[in-house]
Amino acid sequence: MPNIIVCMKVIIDPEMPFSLFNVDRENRKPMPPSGMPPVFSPFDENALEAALKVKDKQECVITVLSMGKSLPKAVLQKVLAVGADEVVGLEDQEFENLDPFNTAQVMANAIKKVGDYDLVFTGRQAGDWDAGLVWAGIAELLDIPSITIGRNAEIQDGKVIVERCVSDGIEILESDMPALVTFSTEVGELRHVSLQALMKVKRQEISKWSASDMGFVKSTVMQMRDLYEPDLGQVECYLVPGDSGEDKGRDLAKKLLDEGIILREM
Amino acid sequence: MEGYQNILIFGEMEGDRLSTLTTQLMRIGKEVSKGLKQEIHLLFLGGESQKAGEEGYGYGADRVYMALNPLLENYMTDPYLQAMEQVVSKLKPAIILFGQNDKGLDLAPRLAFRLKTGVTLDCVDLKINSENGLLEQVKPVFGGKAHSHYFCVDRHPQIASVRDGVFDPADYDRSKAGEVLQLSLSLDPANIRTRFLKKQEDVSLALALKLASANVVVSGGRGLKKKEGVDLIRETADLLDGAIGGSRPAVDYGWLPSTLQVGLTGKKVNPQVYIAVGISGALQHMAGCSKSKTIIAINSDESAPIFKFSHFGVVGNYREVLEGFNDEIRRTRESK
Repeated sequence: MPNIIVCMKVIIDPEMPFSLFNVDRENRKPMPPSGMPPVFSPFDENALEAALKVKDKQECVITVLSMGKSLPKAVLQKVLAVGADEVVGLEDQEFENLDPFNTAQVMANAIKKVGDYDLVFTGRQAGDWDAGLVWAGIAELLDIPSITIGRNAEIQDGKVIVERCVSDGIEILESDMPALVTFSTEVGELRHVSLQALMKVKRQEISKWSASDMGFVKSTVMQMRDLYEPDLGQVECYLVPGDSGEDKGRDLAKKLLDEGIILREM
Repeated sequence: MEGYQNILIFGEMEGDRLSTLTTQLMRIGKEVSKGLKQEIHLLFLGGESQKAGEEGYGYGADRVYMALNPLLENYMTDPYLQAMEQVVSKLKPAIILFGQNDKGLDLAPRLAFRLKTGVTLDCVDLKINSENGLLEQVKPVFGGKAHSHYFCVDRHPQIASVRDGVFDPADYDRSKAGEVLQLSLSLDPANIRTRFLKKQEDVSLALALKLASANVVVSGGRGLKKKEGVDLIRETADLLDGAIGGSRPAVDYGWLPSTLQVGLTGKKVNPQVYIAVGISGALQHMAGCSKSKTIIAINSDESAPIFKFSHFGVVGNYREVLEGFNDEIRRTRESK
């Protein structure tokens, strides 16, 4: 039975209103508003959905490895409720804002500790630092082939067939296993969790591994020397006045036509 | 640094010409090479057009290299990695620049880990730092809320990928010419662990191409509320001879194909006019459209962040607004 490992990072909610989020330039740290519950990085949820889609078609075991400074039980239980077989929390203060080079090391060590695997699924990039590098580090450290931005993955005759999204279409690729595949929105949103399913897993124990459990030793590859909020390019907006939506729509059209912003050739 | 010199650009061809992204890399690459006082070399793996290769000199390359090999015909990570390892070993570049596209986001990271060096993807600025002589890699993080400056210290080459559309194409000087140098590589098929089976052209390819080049884009988001909303924005786009696009939620809900997603991990567009309908204005979306000349927002929520980035705005129900808008445009077109 194939084993699929899904790597899921827990982060500050990237969908939070950006006005609430600030940066401590001096210490080069993000300052999210307190009290906001952390979430899974959105593309990692896509990766889990990809694994569940494989499970819809054939028997397999899905193990989620979730990394973060602090992993709320409720967040981890969601993956069990949605159909993963096991989840291991990689939780340590060391993992806060860990750079991708070290993150890849942690994940690769954790995967080796899990032992047996045929596929590793991850999101294309994390919704916080947007680096897009951890997948590559994991694949290199484990010395396995990789395919990025899959839309679909299927296991057939001991190989994995992946539909890869490129700018002008889809490439169908086949890879030896074990292999790593990254996912983005194309594979589909993570399926909904029912309340019943959540209740069922409430009592399930979740193992947690710390940095030392995984023999993790920090190294420096890249240095971040500045972190700040740039000018976002906000502009003065002319709000079209009016009573009804339809009137405002007409007036908008008239204004844009008058100013030569649209249909200039007419 | 230890015999590593010059900037190497990973170039791509579109037929007989350099791809637009490659011409943009030539511009920023040239700036960086001046900062280093070293040369800029352009590399093509697998591309066959001699003419495109020669065009590289016109865009400012000091040397243009081409490596042809049947194993490079279709892009795949393993053979391209092998090829790049050999190229780096022969040329020892101080810096390698990729475009942030399907190949760049796949090859640059894996190459960096293979060479045990550092990399930053999706850079919006690059320069040689005057204090340390290293490549300063500027990258948007947290969806674009912040910018990070990264340095690769003590490892080489320094690798970065550049976001599409941030830099203009380099100037073309037809008087500059040169010989395209062939690099011979020995690639081992036994080390290739993936196989290319076939390519499926996207059914929405025509729409995606239109989106890339249109002067007017009408884009729909979560506020469309249902799939039928796309019909209305399509009507608006047609009336303005424009293209349709969408934000991530509209694609997630299946209202629009993913090739029409505008945003941080989607398409980058810079039309004359960008009309955002039912789009909240999340930074991840603005990353794809903020370079548009005029941005117009239609949203029922007056506190939506999109109004901070728009030149014109209408607060209202988008159906009513677009019905009035479309009717007015239709009338104007008919009267001419």
